Amino acid sequence: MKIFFSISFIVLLLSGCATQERLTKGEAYPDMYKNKPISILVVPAINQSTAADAAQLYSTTIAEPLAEAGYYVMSVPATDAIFQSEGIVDGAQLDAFSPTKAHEIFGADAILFVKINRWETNYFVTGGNVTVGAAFRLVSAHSGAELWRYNDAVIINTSGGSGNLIADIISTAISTALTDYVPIARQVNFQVMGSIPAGAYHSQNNLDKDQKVVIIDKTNF
Amino acid sequence: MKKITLLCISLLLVACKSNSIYYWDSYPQTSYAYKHEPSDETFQKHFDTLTEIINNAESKNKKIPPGIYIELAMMYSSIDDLDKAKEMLNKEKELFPESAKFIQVVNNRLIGAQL
Repeated sequence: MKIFFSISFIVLLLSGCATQERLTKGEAYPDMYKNKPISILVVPAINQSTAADAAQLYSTTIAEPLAEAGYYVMSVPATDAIFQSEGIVDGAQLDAFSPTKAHEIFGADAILFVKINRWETNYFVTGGNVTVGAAFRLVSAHSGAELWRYNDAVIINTSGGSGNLIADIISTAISTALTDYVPIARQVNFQVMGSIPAGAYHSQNNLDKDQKVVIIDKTNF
Repeated sequence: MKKITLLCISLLLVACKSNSIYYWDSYPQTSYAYKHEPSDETFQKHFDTLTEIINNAESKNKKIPPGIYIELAMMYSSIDDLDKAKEMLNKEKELFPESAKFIQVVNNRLIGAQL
């Protein structure tokens, strides 16, 4: 019975998204299936959030979900070091960076841009969360065409949740003070990459066209 | 009740985790620590993670992720071991042939080994 409730709870959580527009990955990202990028160059993030650390958290936790989605992720620390040697440390300096240059110089098939607009740690009496708002764009390095995008806020729950109110309040206070943002940034990136079509190294490559995906594109958070 | 829900969610997450293609060990943690505060200690910890991944991916039935050998090459280069750096770059190229051009750029710009 309890398990039934738990499962319904999860189903409810999942179906909460059902009112939004639902397309298949093939309908939503047709250029991704045509272009079939293998290698992705991850460029430095544009950080417009109040968290000074957001760009570093992003750059150290993006390779795992992107590689697990089936792509060859060009070493992010190496890419960062090369950009740094050109004086580029923030994505905002990349305005004039042409996608096709990334193919010429690095041999990349696609480039992943991200703008982090929001990073908020919220905490309530019995819980807390971290809300991260970001706009991701994957662009073809062969043609400059946009292949995939994700633009929304991702909310990661950081509650202790022991069921004991006093203990929860204490643990919320402690975990908010000492929150380790690495696993949170990692979860955000995994959640976002859930909508990207599977790449060449993934068993679902070219087989996930009919998978439903929620298209989220909010310009304002 | 709440615990069971959490358990279900964790089980779901664990189930996903075991389907991963690559072995990452504590890559996100040590990578962030090294980037955030480069020191001998964070260098060593990240170096240990990368070495652990290379040595034990196979026994975990996982593959070595893209870029691990390149990071090791950069670390070897920073301690002036260019032979090791070159070896690492060649291993990355073996694992991921599409990295050939990128490796050339990394070597030209950051390492300078005779490939």
